[in-house]
Amino acid sequence: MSRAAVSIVAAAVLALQAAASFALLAPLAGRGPNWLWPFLDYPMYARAHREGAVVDRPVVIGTLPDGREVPVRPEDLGLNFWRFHYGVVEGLERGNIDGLAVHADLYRARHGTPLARLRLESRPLVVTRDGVRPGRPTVVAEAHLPGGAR
Amino acid sequence: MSRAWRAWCAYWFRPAPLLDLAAVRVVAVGLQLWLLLRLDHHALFAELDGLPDALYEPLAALRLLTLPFGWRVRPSGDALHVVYWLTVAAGALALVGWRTNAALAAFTLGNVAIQAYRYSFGEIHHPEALMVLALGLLALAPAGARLSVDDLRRRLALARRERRVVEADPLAGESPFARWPLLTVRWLFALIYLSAAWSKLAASGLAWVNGYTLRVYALRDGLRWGSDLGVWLGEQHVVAVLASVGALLFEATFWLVLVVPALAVLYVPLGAAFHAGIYLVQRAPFFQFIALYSVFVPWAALAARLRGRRAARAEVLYDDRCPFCIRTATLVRALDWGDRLALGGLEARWPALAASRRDLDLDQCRREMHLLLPDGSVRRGFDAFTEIARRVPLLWPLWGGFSVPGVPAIGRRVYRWVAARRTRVTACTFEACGVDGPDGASRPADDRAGIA
Repeated sequence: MSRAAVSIVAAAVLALQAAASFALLAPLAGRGPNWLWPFLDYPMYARAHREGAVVDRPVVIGTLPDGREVPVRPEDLGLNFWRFHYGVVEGLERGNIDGLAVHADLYRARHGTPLARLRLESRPLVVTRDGVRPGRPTVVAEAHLPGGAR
Repeated sequence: MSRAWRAWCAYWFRPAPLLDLAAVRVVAVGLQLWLLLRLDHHALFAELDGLPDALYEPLAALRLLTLPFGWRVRPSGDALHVVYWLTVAAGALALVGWRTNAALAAFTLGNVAIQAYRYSFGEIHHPEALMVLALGLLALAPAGARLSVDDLRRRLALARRERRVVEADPLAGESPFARWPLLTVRWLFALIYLSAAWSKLAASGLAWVNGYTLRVYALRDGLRWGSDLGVWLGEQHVVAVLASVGALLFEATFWLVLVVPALAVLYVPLGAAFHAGIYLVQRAPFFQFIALYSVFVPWAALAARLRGRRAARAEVLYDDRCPFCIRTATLVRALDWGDRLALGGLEARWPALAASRRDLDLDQCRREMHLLLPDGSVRRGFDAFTEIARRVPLLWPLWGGFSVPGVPAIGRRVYRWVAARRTRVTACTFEACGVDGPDGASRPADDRAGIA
């Protein structure tokens, strides 16, 4: 490759990464922030927490058509932790019923029974200056699923 | 040529050691190949194959790769297995440096395909991004000019063509195209760390270093992924404050390495410790970043320093009228990365040797290779080759084999058999020359007639 061609490649790679680094690419692409992988921004762990901050320990509870409650874990849907987190936990937080219905189908395929409702609970820990103590469990979100009564 | 272009070229295309580039290739490809081989691809592809189409949102890179088949094509599990094994094969070739640039390109594209498909279902992680960019840059550079089968083949071809030993140092040599990929990766590091620092400061300001922030993340990930160190850090306020300040300072100032390269001595070990710490506390495996710190290592200077401590060299006295011996000596030289051996052509060296080494006999030297050791002793034939193998780490597997009881006796016999049948060129120019065949009869020079 000539110097000019190499220069164009290096400049393009750095320009794309610079734009991605400061979250300029995603709006340009009109897609999610990761659509132009491997050019990514690195915003992980950016949000500050203060004394009394709560470490969420989300638990997803499913309700069967007969009213029984069952824990719904990643392995119940054949998903790894992250796909479960983005699809189910965040789906419940955002009230994404369509996305949750897709995941409920995964449960039905594995367990032979539909889910009528999903509930997201938090069983938190509280971080204080002197250490960590258990917090009060709360219900974060609940969703009724279409076709769950089948 | 404008002044700006000259300045640009002086920065990006200043001649740099080819060894620096090749060493990064070995480290980066070696790690990525190892990670690929550790990947449970059967389980991963089966899991992804079982996900509904509604969850599939292909990333741009995957769309580009699958564009010939359509804009939103979803590869089948079988196709992914084929891609996986082709990528592994390309990685193995790129590691040893055989058809290096093509192999690197294939390895990069294979990794992009596998990772982009994996991340087209809503989940995404960051460690592989820098690695695939770095591999792609290496594919466009002379990354196979050293530490490679390509270099070995080039040397042997030159020895065959010019009928002389290629004595050039296997680790030396510079190229104006050896610097830009390493510089680009360094800049990528700086941009990535700036992105991380900017995100923290933009979202939280200096409150990010209040200690509670890091404790929350350490505790959450420690519980989630089973890290005792993470859970422990979640309880340690002062340690968390100090670690937060250190992490933010590191990320925000890493770009200084590009301005003052000497700072790499500080930042590279800090960076490696930073990512190792993140792994131990939060189980976030940024091993690729640690491997890619190799772009900051002055490998050629390091090799020169290590060689400076070497013991005295032994001299290989090879038959410089024997094409087979010339190629063998070229091969030995190419593998002698530690510069433990000197090469001496017999006919060229003999006038000096005859005066200083009364213990050597010219006819015997012509019959079998001699190795003159620094202490004045001599190894001959198979024993010389065994000693050479002992002195050249890349030949240690051979040395191990030669040391098995019984092997030396067989080896000496095989060596004598081969040596007696090799072709020697008579004392004349190579351009118009005859050769002495095994029977002593002269015939036109053609090293293909030799035993090689």
